[in-house]
Amino acid sequence: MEYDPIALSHQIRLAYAEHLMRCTDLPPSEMEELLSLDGDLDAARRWLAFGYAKHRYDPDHVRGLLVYLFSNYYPSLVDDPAKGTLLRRAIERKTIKLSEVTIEKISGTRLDWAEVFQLVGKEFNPTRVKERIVAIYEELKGAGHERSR
Amino acid sequence: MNGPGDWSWFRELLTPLQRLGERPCPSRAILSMYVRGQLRDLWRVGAHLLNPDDWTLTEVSQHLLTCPACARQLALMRRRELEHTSVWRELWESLPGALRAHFAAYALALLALVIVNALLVTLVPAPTVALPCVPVGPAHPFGSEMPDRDLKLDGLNKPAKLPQSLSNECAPVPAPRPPWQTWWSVWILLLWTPLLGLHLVWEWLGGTIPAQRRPAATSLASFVSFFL
Repeated sequence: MEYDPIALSHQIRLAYAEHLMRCTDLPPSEMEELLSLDGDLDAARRWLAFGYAKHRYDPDHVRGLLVYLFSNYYPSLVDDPAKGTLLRRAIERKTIKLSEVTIEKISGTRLDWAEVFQLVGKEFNPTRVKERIVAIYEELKGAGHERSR
Repeated sequence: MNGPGDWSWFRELLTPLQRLGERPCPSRAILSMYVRGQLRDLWRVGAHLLNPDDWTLTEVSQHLLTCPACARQLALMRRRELEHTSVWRELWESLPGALRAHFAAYALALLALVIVNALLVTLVPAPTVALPCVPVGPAHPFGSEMPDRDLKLDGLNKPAKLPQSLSNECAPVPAPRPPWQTWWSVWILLLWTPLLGLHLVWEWLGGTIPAQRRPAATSLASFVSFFL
């Protein structure tokens, strides 16, 4: 069975994102090579920035941001209105935990921030979390340039 | 990032997955396990597996993101689940977790206590008291007064009236049961049920306050400390 390295790397990066949400991720230092198998260092650094942000700041804030991101911006493959209804009901009744979430379970459900906060169990400032992740990415990018010189 | 509301930097990461390899689709049982959250959560990507039913949570999730047939099947399963949810299940799931735990503890404890109580009442023989023997024969001359049959026995509130047929023999009679052989579980039921009702009201009142401004006093711990 032949694997397309680009598609495989993309699969690995999304798997990493999913494990970040469920908090079953490996340390980012161990993931660096695996995330850049196809040579796409920029994409690898972006996902690593999420991993480092989880270690530096409140991990639940980063997990919540990922939930919002996949819920609102990752397309659902087929029309599945029951998915959103069941997810919202589970969030409202607190019968779902972040440790059970997958990208498929939340993609296309368009959760709003109040629902994400309820799922995470705490409120946070999404803009600040986004800024921190981008700042870590810039750090990683700078460190990469230093290493390549 | 151009602005605080700008998601473009993040959205660039979310390009849809492409289907990889020739792995067959997961069975319906695996999809059911996925919905119920019963699959293993391992770090494994792109592995060649011999067992077709060996799927991890992420593998099924990623397969569903790339396989329209499986995604449609799962959508149908979810629609059925939504349509066939019973009223009782709805009601049960709508209760707060603390109240559900209280209901479950109440039902289990009472079931166990009633069974133990019933065993004690029915299987353990009731205590008896042996009456003193009433002498018969020449000690009582014919025509003389028979001894008083209304005997006052230790542990009995009322005098025991001996039946005529047994009046001349040593006969055990039932004594009052000790407290552990009575229906004490009824008292527990009578005490616990109103407490459960109060907890229901407590949770309902707490639920009317918006989550952000809900004081800690609406929690289960405060309910327990308040009533105990």
